[in-house]
Amino acid sequence: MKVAVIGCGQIASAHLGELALVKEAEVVAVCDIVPILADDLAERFSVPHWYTDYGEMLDKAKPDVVHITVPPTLQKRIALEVIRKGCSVYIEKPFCLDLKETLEVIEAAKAGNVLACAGFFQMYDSAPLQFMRYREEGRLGDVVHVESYYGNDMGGSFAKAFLQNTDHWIHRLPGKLFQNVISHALAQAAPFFRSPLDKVTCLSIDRSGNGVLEDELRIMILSGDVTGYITFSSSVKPVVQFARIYGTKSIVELDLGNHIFSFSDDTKLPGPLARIRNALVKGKQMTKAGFGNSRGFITGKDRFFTGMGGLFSALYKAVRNGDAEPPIPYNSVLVTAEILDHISDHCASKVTGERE
Amino acid sequence: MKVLVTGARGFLGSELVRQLSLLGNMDINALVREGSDTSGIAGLERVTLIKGDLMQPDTIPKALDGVEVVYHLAAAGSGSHTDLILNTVVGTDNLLKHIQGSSVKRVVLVSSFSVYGLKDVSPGAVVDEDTPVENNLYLRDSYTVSKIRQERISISRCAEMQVQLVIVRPGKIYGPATNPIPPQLGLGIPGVCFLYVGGRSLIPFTHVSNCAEAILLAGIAGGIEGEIFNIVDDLLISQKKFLKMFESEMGRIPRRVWIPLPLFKIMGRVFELAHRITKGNVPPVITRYRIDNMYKYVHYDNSHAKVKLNWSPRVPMESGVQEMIRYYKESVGK
Repeated sequence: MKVAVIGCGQIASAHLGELALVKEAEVVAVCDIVPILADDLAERFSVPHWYTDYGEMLDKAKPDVVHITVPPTLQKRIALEVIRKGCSVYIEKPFCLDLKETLEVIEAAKAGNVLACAGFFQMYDSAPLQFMRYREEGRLGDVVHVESYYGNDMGGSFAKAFLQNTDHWIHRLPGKLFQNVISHALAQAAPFFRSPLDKVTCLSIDRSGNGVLEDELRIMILSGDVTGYITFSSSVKPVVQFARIYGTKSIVELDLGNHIFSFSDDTKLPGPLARIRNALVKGKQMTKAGFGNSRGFITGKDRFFTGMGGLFSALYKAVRNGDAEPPIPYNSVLVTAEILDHISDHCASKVTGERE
Repeated sequence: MKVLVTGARGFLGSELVRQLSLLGNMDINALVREGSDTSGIAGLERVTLIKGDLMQPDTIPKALDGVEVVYHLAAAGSGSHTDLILNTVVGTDNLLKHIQGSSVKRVVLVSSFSVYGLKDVSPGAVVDEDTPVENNLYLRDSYTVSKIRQERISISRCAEMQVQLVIVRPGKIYGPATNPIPPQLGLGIPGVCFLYVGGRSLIPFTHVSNCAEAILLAGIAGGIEGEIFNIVDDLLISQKKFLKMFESEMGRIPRRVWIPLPLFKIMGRVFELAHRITKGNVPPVITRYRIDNMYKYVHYDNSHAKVKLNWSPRVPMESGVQEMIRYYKESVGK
């Protein structure tokens, strides 16, 4: 599979690092409007060619799949041009700016008989993969409610950059900070909803008082007979990320930061015995996760971006097989975009309210 | 003469601006980022503060207006690889693009000692301006990569524009207000211990005032176009001597563990293996290659700067180090 990357910023390094471990991938070229970044990335990962014009790169390198790792404001335009050239695309989160753009890209991919895969790579981390198998075994039952929590770290250099610079591209996103980072949390909940959603309600505040961006967000969702909560916090410590899926047979918790899958199921044992049994079952699950994570660390099978590599492989397999849908289903991408639209509307209404 | 100092708010930059101002015969444009604390340089004679950022190129022309010499100090000292490349290399490229067709005659680029590749230098050898620059870029840390790339782009762009380029490579800049423990002493493992590596190697210290003076001279001395100058002070002290001076004031470094250099190299080998087996889960913080570059026993030569720049370090080594440690002790006490 011939792969090219457009956009040589920070996340592109993670892509190249994971691509080096994906056997079927051959990275043929990278591209960035800033030649120094393209040259540096190419040299660092031994990529044979680099370009500053992606049109030229597509014509000369002729990739099968193009990874688009540019700021969100440029994603749609570049994705459409790449699709027009007959290449499948992997588009980093948030995929596009809004639902309209998302639909445009998906329709173009369908019409061009190629795939447009959203970079919701956490879906391919170990805990969500274990959950998929658990659900396929019918142990969850019907989904009643989903909670997804995203802890955001405002202490890093990236946060410093957009807090100090009000001209940073983050401020130009309609959904501001939330739009850039909440996609992973939304993607965990999205498979349980259908687009269009019945109701979405948002609530947000600038809890830290940074004066530049709101940093706390709560979302409530209704889709058919399934409800959901999304929590985004920049204040809670430790910075964690998890999802809870409430089914008619059991409750599943995915600790996404620590790669732990656990569940609570029903038992017919009487109260006191049930308490003992449930604690032991939990202990067993945690012990298993601890050993699994240790093994994964030592063998290198569990890395920070393992899910990304897994999603790349799944996408290349889908492209080879001529599948109609990418490994992240289009419904999930549309649901995520729809919720992001509500977040954007919410942010816009707050700005209008402040002006008034 | 009018000069521009980029990175004027930094530890070295503010000292350079102060010394340029004291000369009394120069107008100084000091480029500082919007919102940065300029208390150290604001109000100095003939200094104009220019708010700008090399990553926002539209702010550069104003800073270059009427300037003949650019002292380019702005660079990133930490951050991700991409941050370092952007802020150091792309920032430099943005600056140099605007120098084309301007009044600038000379660029003084402040680089770093870290650009040298000491892997193949024999122990006890002298490191001078003829020592080869690292060619295995990606076996080194991102800071070194960014400084080497910054030098490369400056050399090629200045040659194209026929603008004089003088490169200054300071050793470890020290002085009051810096963390007194240099990385050349050892490796701190947060929450675990401080590994004091070896003890015999010389630390390539240069006091901030001495270094700033050398840089100042590199902007005005004649007949040095295209030259490179290593800046280290005289009578460099060993790791062992520094440790003794530090601990006599501050007490023993908490959880300090001494590790001989050969043993540390074995540890480096183990880390390299672990990095490979775990597919990067163990970060490559200790490798034999980096150990050689950081802790090898070599001598440092500053005679080129002394002869060509007519420079000599005014702040003596031992009193400068004592001053730094006492300053640190007082600030910790506060």
